[in-house]
Amino acid sequence: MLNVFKNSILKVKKESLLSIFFILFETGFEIIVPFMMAKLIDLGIESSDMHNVYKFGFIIIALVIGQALSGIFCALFAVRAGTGFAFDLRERLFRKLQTFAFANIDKFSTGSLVTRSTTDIANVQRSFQMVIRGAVRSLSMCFFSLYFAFSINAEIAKYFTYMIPALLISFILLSKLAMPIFEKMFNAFDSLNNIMSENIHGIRVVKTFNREDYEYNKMKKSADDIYDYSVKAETYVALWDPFMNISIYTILIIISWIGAKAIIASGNNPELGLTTGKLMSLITYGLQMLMSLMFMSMIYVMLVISYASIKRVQEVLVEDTRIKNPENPIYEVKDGSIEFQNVNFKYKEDAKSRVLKDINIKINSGEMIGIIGGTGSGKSSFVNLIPRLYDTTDGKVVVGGQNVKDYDLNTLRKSIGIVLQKNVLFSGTIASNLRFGNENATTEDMKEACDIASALEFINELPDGFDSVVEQSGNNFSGGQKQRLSIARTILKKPKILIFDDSTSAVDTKTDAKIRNGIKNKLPDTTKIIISQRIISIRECDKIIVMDNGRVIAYDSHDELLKNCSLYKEIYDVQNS
Amino acid sequence: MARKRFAGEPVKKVKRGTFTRLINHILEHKIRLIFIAISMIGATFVNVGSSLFLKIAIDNYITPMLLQDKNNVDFGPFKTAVTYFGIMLVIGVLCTLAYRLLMVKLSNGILRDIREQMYEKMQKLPLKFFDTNKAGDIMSRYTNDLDTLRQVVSESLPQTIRGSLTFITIFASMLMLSINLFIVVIIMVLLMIAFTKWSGSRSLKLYRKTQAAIGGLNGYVEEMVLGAKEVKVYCYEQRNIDAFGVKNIEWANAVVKADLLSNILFPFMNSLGNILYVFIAFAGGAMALSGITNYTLAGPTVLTIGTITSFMTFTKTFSSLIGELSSQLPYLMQSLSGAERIFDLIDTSPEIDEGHYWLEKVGKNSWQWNNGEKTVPLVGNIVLNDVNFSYVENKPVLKHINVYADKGQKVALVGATGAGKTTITNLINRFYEIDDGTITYDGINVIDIKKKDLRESLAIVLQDVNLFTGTIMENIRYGKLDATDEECIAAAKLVYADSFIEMLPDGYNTIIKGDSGGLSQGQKQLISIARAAVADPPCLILDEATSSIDTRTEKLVQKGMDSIMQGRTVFIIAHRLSTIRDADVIMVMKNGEIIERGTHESLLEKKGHYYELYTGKVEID
Repeated sequence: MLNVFKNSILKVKKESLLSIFFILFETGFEIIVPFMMAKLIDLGIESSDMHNVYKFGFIIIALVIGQALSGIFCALFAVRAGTGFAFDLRERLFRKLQTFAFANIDKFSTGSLVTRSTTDIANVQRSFQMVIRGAVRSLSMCFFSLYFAFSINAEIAKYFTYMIPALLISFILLSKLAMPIFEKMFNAFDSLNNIMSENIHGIRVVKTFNREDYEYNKMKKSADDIYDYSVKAETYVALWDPFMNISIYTILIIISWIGAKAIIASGNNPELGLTTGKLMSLITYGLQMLMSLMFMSMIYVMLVISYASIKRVQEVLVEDTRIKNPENPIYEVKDGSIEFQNVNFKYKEDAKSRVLKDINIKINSGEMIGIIGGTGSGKSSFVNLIPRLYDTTDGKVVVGGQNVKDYDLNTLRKSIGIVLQKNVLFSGTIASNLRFGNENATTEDMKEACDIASALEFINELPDGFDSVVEQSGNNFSGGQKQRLSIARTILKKPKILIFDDSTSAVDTKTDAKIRNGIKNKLPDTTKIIISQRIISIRECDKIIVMDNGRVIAYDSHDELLKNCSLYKEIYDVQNS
Repeated sequence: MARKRFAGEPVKKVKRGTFTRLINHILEHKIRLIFIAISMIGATFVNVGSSLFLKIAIDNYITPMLLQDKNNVDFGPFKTAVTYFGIMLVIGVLCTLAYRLLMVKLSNGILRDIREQMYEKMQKLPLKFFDTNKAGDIMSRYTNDLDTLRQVVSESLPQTIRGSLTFITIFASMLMLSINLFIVVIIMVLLMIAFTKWSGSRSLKLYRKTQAAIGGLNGYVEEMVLGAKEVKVYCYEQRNIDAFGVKNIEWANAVVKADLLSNILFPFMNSLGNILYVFIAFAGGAMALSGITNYTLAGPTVLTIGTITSFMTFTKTFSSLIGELSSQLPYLMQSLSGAERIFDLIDTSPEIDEGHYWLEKVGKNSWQWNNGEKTVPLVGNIVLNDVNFSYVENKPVLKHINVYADKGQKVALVGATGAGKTTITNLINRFYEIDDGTITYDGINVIDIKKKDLRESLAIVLQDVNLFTGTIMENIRYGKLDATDEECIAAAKLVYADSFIEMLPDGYNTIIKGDSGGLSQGQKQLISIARAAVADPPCLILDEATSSIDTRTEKLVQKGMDSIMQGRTVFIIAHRLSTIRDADVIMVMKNGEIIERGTHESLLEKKGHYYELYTGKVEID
């Protein structure tokens, strides 16, 4: 699993290694300090020797300064390593998202991708920082403490090592007991948040049907679960404190008892064995070791908690991009002709029914084609295959005489403009949104495109014109205005094929007709495909595709269809009665 | 008469009282608190005592034993001392265990109380609250703010209390040992506090910068991920990566600065503590040798070697405690602002209900009202008489609205977005309160009707369908909790939802999760109409209820819709004019006023605004 993060870790190799290097120094200094303090007490204070007090005092001050300096350097590199790691990971994740095909996006859903690239990535960063600073620090502290304790008195120090497995076992036991409950608690939190979010968004429904008490009881049930689980889980965590106390106190008693015997045996003579000063240092080392063990256990718990985030980020990074560039791509689309040859399509491979069935159709370059059909008849799926937003399940789509799979993706998509059904504007200005499709568009280009899209009138009415602010997702514009801006944005791409996926549904019929006339007259060489629910929007097209349940059931002109296609006639009658 | 209520606004400022209020919540659990206090004090004493034990052992037992004959040392007194010490430690462990366990119950209990208060409040808040606050902000009070409060109550607060207890104990012990040496400590401590204060204010500034940077970065990512399909269609990928890179660098630079400061703080404070330790050794040694009088709280004494070493042990704990407490404090303050937002929410004034007329259902499509004196069958005539309304004062949204809707009538509201169509429906069921005029229901002012009953008798179907996690059956039953399966299925059949529901793998038991139910918007609309049909109310409001259903399906549904509307007072808002062609009366609205009214035919003849809308000369959206 770590493989996925390897690249980002390697990017900050130097900083990470340097910070680990300085951590070793920092902890080394920190560990010698109590050793010197013992000397200061033994040889200075206890022996009433001011000379030694000063001598060891200044040694300690020097050590402390060394410790502070290496601590600062360590922080310097650790912070750079942690931030650099996160910086690289964010960048990689974002780049990866740019390569995603529609199918990849559908698989994760945009909401989940947002969480993964914001909250989850922050958790991964925190884990990384914790490992390179906290874990290394406490490991080296633990090691140094043991080393010095052994060098003072191996006989007593060996009792410390007995504590390690004891603590380890109790820790594993407690976490084994607590973890599943924590998991249940997090699930309860998730379901509670879900209930609340649905309640807030659906507040009108709740109030209309008077379901306040019903909703409250749903919440209360989840809240009670949370209470039960967190009391249970935290109880296990709370047990950890007394456990630590027991270990500390046991060490104290053992050391003071055995220590007293050893001191009496040596006559408190440093030459012969243990002294009171050394006994004090032993205690310090013992406690330090326990503290670092406790710290490691804390890091472990945090890692377990952020494991879910690590996994979720990893899933995105290893996701196989569904649509890739071919090996020797074609970089030019000759014209706007389109051909579907025996095309079948399913959104998911394991889906039972096909969304598009046996489609065979030919559209000449420069033609204007209408598509009509009920909800779910496959109109949008049909046009989505043309710029390769999805790949066909069987058969092939040919654009400009070549299979779409043989084109360079950018080349293909730049020459096909599609106005999506649910169009999104981005925060910025009208101009920045228009340039979304073509960054080199001049003001003249924009005016021309907006004129065709019938957007120029309302833009001119705005005080700031093309520089008017657009809020996130274009919330400060009406549905009809958003649609017209999206159309202009697409026209600016100067595509060879222009597709409207029900793009004028919120526009009044007069403007709708104006837009249609505009693209017909001003873009004669562009192939134009218009999906609409309204017959009036497509009746003038060269040909109209009638779709039903994934099949093309008719492909002809309006007049012919009225004569020969019963479904078309039915729709026509409903709309003109 | 104008009845303006300031529902949805906090009643009073609680800024100052937040901390006291939190404490009051804690103080509610008196008995538990007393036990916690006792065991905490016990644990603290044992903890401080244990750090002294070794000193006592050395001074009082080991050193005297060293003076004894080496081959015949009497370990008896020491053994007794260790035994007593052991017993003390056991008590300490038990105390720790007790207060930790009690604390778990206490903190979770407090949180449960507050949480339940918040959930209860959510159900009582007026619609205005939900309309004026972003859903994300409201959610964040229930998630982020509650979580910070949890951390304060279950982690920071006990740590701070425990730390302060230890602090006081050590403070007193030091004064008992030597006031002279304590002066040295004070000077050093003041230095440390000054440093943390300086770095605290600096790091807060840097922290805010990182928050802004991460907000910008995440905001950008969110917008671009939500618009990911647009990015693909317009080949925006490379430019997107470039723009993201700039924001990412900004973020990284801000974080490096802020993190550096907070990461340097710990080694720096630690070193200051160690230096203080050495200074005490210097001062203590010098004092002991020069024989200066040592003042203590217990009176002047001579400074002994044992005293110096004990004092030095205390110094270490003392300085690390200051570091701990000073790092805890800003965090505590920050979390209190979360608590403040929570209390603000709890204090927000709820919806007011002064109704004294009860409406009740007595049978299929048959309701009655009573006011405690008499019981009368409910007809369902709704009259709006000269109604004025504004969301914000002096910005009228509705002006002099008069509407008469009789039982069985279909009243359509037509007009551009913002004309005030939906607002009218929001007033009838009192989601909002009118400024002027009256709305009556069978002649009863709606203000006098129990809100709960009023709303139950007026089902609304909205354009944006909100379904709840659960099965399709449960979602239809939401309209009437005691509806049988048969009733729900009958309602679904009526609106042509039955055919697609039966095609789903689990039929009516298919679970809908949030937004991604795999259902189309049109299918969701059908379910929500079925939900309203099950409720069987005398009055129905359809606000763009069929907007996502294609014209052919709408035609199929029409028959079912007609039978649902049969015998009820119905308000219809629709963008697609074919939907409302057969309404009994069509009200054409513009800028908060009804400018035309009549039937479809009469309005077309009039060749006014409706004619323009219908013939597509004017954009309706």
